[in-house]
Amino acid sequence: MPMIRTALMLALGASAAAGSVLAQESVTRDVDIRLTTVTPPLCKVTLVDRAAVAITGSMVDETGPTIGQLRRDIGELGVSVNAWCNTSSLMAVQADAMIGPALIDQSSTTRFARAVNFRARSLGWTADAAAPFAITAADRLGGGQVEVTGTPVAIDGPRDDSLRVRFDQFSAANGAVLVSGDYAGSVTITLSPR
Amino acid sequence: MMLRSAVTVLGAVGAVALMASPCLAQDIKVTNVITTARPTCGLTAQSPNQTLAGSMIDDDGYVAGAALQTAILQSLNAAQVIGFCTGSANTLTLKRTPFTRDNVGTLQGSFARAVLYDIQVAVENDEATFTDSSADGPQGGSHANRFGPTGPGAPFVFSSVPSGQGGALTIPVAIVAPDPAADGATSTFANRPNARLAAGTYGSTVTLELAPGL
Repeated sequence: MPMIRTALMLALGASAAAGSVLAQESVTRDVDIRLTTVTPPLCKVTLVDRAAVAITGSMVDETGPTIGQLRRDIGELGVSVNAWCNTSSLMAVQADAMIGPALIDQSSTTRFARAVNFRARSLGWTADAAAPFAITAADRLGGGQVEVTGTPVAIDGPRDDSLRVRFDQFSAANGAVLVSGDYAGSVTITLSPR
Repeated sequence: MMLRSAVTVLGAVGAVALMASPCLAQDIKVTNVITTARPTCGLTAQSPNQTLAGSMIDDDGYVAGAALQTAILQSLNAAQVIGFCTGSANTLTLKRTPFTRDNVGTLQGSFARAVLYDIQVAVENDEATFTDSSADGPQGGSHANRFGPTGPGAPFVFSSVPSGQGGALTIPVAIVAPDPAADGATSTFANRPNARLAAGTYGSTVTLELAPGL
């Protein structure tokens, strides 16, 4: 019986050794899952304060030899817009001249005008964009091309800054008296991914 | 005297017989242990390359956290990971790299070009469910008992990390761009809150590892 016990213990010892060798042979398995997605190129422009674009007071001189004519001291108006593009982009400015009420008889006189020109620019990113004047200086009635778009400028890389949109160099046909009424123009800032 | 001698001889013969018998039993016993003790695991993914449905960002350009998490889980489960382990002391480890942009060129500082997320994976047998989270990266694998007794095994199911587990992200967030191969714990990545995501193609790798154990 003692011999049997001894032999049995040897057998257990052998099995443990064999088991540990085989455990080292066990292979760790792994699997990789590759996830891919595309973030599309996007741009967004948001006007912060629309009221800031309004010309305060009268557009015309109300006294003196230039009475009724466009004030020359309007200066520069501006508005800030929130803008971002998550990739490189093109920025363009489109401007529509300010147009007032229609004249009942446009051929009766050359004294009056209903079109006011201005320059629009978009500033603050790596390059500035501007719209050319929408109408010619002599166009009293805005009868020509009112809406113009400037040459787009290239912006490198994503940007996330506010843009300063500036309006200045207001002008009307030389010596013309502006027809009474409300005048409205528009400026459009376009950001396009590229 | 003769009788004693005979007894002595018989005793000697008996001793030889006792020595021979256990030796035979030893060989048979060893063979049985080798066959049954070896722990083995198997692991496959039917569709390991997945493209997420939809966009990673919302209309304002920020990481669309909840929607992105849903898309990630749908893709991971669509990969159809199946596996088995025959041992009872296996280690299940889940890790992931963040989504990083393929073009890592210079970007304006405020934009993010990486997205970090966490998920957990679960597999079950008839008695218990075994889970591991990606939040600890390649560390801290979880115990798993044997599972997947037949065929290719049991399915692994990916899900969100329950809220309240320290350091785990319940929804993806923008982070500072890391090494694309970084797969560490959530706390090893720098957060970039309120940063928009730069456009581009983003990739991430989820790795599931099974280490067999007795």
